[in-house]
Amino acid sequence: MTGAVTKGGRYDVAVVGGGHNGLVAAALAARAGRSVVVLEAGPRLGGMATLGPRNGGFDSAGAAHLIDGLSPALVQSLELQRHGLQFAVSTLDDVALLPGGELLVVSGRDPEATRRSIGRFSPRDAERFPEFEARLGRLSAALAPFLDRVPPTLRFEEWSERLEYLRLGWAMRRLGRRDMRDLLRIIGMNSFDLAEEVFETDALKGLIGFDSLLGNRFGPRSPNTVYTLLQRKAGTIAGRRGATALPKGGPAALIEALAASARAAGAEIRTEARVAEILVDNGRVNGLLLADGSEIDCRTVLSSAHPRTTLLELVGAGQLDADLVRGLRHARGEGGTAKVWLRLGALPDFGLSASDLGRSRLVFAPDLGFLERGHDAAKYGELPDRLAMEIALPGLADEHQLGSESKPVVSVTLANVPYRLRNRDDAQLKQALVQRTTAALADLAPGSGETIEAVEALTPKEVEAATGAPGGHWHHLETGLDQTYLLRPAPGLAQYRTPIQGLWLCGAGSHPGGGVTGRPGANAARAALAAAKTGR
Amino acid sequence: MKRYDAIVIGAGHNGLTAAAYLARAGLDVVVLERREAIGGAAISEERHPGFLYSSCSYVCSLLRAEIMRDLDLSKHGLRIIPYENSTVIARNGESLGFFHDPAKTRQSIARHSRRDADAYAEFNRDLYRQCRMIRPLLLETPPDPTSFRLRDIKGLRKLQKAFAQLGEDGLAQAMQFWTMSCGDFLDRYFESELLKGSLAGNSIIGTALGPYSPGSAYVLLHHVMGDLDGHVGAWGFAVGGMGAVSDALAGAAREHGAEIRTGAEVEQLIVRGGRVEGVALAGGEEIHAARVVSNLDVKRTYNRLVAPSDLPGDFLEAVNNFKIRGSSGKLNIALDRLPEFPALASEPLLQRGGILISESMEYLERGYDDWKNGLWSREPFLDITIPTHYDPTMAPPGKHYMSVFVQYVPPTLADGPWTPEKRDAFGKTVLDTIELYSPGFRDIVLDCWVRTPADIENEVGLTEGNIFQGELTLDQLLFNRPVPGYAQYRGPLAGLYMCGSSTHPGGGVMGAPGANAAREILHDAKIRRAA
Amino acid sequence: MTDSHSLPLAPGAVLEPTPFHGRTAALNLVNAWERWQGHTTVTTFLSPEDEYFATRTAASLYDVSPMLKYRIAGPGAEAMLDRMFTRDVTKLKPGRCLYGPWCDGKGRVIEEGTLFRESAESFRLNAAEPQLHWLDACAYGFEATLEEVTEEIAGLALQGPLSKQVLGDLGLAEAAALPFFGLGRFGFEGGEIEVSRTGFTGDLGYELWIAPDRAERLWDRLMAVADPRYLRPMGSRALDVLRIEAGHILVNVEYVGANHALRDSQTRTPDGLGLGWAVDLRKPGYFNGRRAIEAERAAGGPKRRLVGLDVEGRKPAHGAWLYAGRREVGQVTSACWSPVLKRNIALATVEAAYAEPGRVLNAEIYYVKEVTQGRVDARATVVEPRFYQPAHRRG
Repeated sequence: MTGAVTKGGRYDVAVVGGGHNGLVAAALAARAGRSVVVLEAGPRLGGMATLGPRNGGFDSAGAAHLIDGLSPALVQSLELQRHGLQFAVSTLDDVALLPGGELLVVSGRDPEATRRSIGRFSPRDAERFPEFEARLGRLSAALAPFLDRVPPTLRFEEWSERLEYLRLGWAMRRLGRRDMRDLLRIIGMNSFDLAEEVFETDALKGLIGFDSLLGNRFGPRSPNTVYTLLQRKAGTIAGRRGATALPKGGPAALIEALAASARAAGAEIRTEARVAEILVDNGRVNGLLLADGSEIDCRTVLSSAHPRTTLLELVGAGQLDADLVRGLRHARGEGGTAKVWLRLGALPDFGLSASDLGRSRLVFAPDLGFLERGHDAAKYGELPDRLAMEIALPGLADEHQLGSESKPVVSVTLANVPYRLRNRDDAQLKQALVQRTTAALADLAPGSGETIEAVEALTPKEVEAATGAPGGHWHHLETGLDQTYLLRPAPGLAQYRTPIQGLWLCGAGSHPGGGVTGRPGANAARAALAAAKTGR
Repeated sequence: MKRYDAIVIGAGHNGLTAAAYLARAGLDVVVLERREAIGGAAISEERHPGFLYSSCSYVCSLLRAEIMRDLDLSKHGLRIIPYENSTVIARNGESLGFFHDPAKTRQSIARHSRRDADAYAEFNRDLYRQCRMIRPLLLETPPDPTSFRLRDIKGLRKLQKAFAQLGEDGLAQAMQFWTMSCGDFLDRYFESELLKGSLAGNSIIGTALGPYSPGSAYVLLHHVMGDLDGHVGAWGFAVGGMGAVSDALAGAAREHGAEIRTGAEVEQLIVRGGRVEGVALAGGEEIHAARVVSNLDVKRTYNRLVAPSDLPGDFLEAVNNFKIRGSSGKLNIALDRLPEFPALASEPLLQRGGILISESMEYLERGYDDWKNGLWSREPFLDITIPTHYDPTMAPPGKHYMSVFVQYVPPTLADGPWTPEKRDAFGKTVLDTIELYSPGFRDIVLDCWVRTPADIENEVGLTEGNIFQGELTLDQLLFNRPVPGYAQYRGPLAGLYMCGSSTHPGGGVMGAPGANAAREILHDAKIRRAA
Repeated sequence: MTDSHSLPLAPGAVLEPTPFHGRTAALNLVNAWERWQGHTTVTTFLSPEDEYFATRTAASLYDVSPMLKYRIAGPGAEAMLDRMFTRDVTKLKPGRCLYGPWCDGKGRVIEEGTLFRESAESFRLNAAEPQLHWLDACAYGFEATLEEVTEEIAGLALQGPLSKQVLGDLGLAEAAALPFFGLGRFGFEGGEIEVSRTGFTGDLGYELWIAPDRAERLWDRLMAVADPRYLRPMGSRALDVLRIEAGHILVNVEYVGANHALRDSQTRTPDGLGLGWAVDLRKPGYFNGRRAIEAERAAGGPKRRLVGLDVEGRKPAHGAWLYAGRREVGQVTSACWSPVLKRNIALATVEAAYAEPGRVLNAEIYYVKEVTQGRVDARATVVEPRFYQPAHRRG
């Protein structure tokens, strides 16, 4: 390639991708005194979190309509509240919607209400629920510290690694014999069996099953789903473990706070700055080539892009060992989650008051069999007739998020969506998603069907096209046990470090995975900064 | 009144193994069997004149050579002949053979995909690596990771060493292997659906998991970690059917002085002061012993033989949470002559080994979906063997016995329990399936004995008819099997031991649970047999 | 149609004949066969010694058809192979061959073999073990197609000091003039033949590659021109002696390929196999295992190395344990009596500290003493593993 290479500036650290993990990494690096630039290919920041419908006037809607697991340490250290982060609702109620209009409410704020609600279905389950919550809370709390730590390698001969395993072993032992046995047994189990062991209420079991598989391509009978449930519970939001919160202004506001924090620390953030290539010289990073032909001069690159994009496209397979490339290619990451937004002319009637509706997360997953059958259809590339979904109306508790015409926007997350419809194209999938969702809504909130003014959907393939993450998977890669912790994204790459010196992975494809947690970004940034200090 | 040193409940192969080891160490042992015949699921029965059926279990690989030698089973008539090949046949007339000779297997796979043929060597290596790690653990008592006892710490150290010797790559592979689905594992190597389908068959036999369920890769290992005559992964026929295994074990037990009583159904255990002192038989007879060893699965042992009041509540809950799921059926068929499989016309010798019906991964996965919905697989996975190729004593001259193992078959159906009509319909599904691969097959069927999970439960006493006495999933292996904290063949009641396949290392006519349990009993009794 | 109660005893053929089988079978007077990658090949025709001396004195023919052959083609083939091989493939010109190892990401040798550059965008790789799975992994990200061509090409090694003349007599003077590791396509009998100046004997020699349906014709022509000379068809037994003398290593004998080894301890890095010369750290591109090999060198090199041994006495040191004093430091992997050197030689792997030439080790040799085993302790001196390298080899 000839032609003038324009200088794009010189920085200590360049961050590829302006998603929340990239911004977290940038903010931390900038706070550590490094000169930092964030390079976002698209016109907006936020990656998947703020990915919204392009038409229909859904102004501030984003794919991540609710946030769970945002690291509290990060909120503090990046002073996100000073930079504008506020929660409209800090603990949303989980409301299971049932055909026929019945509701089951699990409220993190009000255990008594939860007990009453479950008690209407089964007094036994109502008695058992608090202990079940406490049990998962204890087990996930033991795992939680490891979400903020770099996973060890499998090189047992190294003392630092042995120490980390001892730490892990100690965390388990500290649970006590009973809980440790419980954890070692259930961690490999599926949520179907776990829920069946404890409860008899279909709606409650469905809710547990749904939370265990959201974002992944699992059914409740897929072993591993207890692990994903525990990981979800291990997150802490607004001081409450395992809770779900609604940021004021939606995910975009969270992203703005992160960006503001990064900028305040001196980081430069560029949008429409697509990285074309990570330049490598003699096995180490030697800058970035942007699509516009300019070059960024830097020796440390943190990439929040999908691990495959980072290593196989931006670096290139030729710079890497073929077995590592093979491992990366085998990592599973086809998306199974889609979004639909609807603007309604009137408040939908789910049997909840407007204020309750505003602080609830509605889940339609009436029973475990329903979820499993949905998964069965999706695994063959078929779309289930009825989809499991999570529904939120963020605008009700947060005036910032009302649609442009101040009409309620219903944000729907659909599970069990095939990445590819067998013998159909993506437009047909999109159409089917809209049709299934409107039908479900008409069913669950009678009368709402006639008030629909606008509908938009986002398929996994569209997520892929918009973010460049191959597969369009929410977590970049599935978070099953075989792709978690020291196996994430692939053996040999789990310490955020890549074989290219100076290049680090900091996106959802790395431990602990997806969700708007900021943890992969933070862990990677800390590891990279520590390595720079010690010269490796 | 006579008091024994040990009572073994159930004359299945593990009960007999335990009895033989205990008797050999000098204990005074009695084995009590509910049925008139010994053997449990390892049994040969003449159900049609002149034909001997391996009624349930039908092939042998996992039986530990150590047990064969310790108990001198060949002296008691046991002969196991490895069958040298196996094959998968497809509806379109194609087949793929696995031969004793690797070059021949390579040729056969290469007809479907040259890439797969090359990858197969690496696949085998990777699988064998996992076998090497797991095999030495089969005859070990699983250590308790929550314990600080020297024995357990030593055991854990051994476990850790077994993993660590794999090296960094091997270890990463092992961790993935234990947690991933068989389908994902196979997708890493192969593109041919027929090849994947045939290899995945091993990951679903006896298991209520689909080939794309995470964790199913381990089950694959469970079926290839056996060995015969130095060939890891080889399977064989017991001459005289699988009952010959039980007969030989019984012979060994009797030789060492054990008593075996059939028609002796234990109704309950006699528990005094938290200690098991003997058993009460259905007829009211009481037999006393210093200890009782149960070959029954963990649910039957603790739910049926012991009063709940004698057991800690959380233990009982854990027992009830142990997953024993019926997912398999069996057809025993008497044939007038050998069937013809057009797909094997060019390689007729492949008929001598296992013949799999397993078209693709989706074929298996859809079969599993049916099971989840309370149906038997509309298009079932079949593992067909014709033992009379090797053992002509099992059928009259010129006639043949065919064993057909069927996956997936639910223990109860969506529309209610099994009935004779439903059993016939199930049998018809299987025969119709075979007919697709062997036109004219029905015409040579002289007798067909169909067995549903419910039949196996009723006759043999395996809960839900599960052939492993409990699912082989990660949450039910090693120190989790059958109940965390009780994985060392002992339960909460003093004097009561478990020796069935519910315990480590699980089912498959291995004998290892029986041998391991006997070792633990002798350890407690402080008896060390001179080598 | 199968009989009603039995199956035919003769199954389908397990081993394939090679394209030369019709001719080699007629000459195999002692019926000594062995298998090689699913094919029937000759162990010895009559006398291994005679076949050996023909090679060292005049010429021999050895059927190498079962060698696995892969064609790698396309605009990205060169870059792909350069990333795969430890040597610089970009420097390999069309019409040339190179020998070298390829490694996994840990720097462990997967195999070593010969790469033939037939044109700018087409290469052929010869290997002893199946490689398609690995080639597939290596091809990702490169514009290259892979194809196994083992059955499409018959191979015959013509080796020995007179091989050049024999080729000339065959009317292939141009081929005879190929430089060492040269490769070319020539007209032959109204068709084409590919000739490479390569071989496994350490002697002057060529390998002839031809369509299988013309293989027997080639054989016949060679045997016809060879008639007045000491040219012999050769079997594998003689070849094994020749290759040990030449110091050529063999996969599954000197080491196990990284993709097939059960135990890590059976794998070797290039330095551990004496192939350090074939690792080109100056080449600009990355290659598989480069980082690991660099790290190993930075840490002082491999723990074990391949060496040659000059063993006293006459008992071949097959599998002998090697001791330095009482310390066991290695083991012999290949051993033979060298008829041309009249010496007892061996290839062995020993701990790096004991691998320098001149070091004297003690070899514990077991041998067949009529019906029992005998044991001798013999002095074994470490030498360069190139026992016989005649000047005419490159001439």
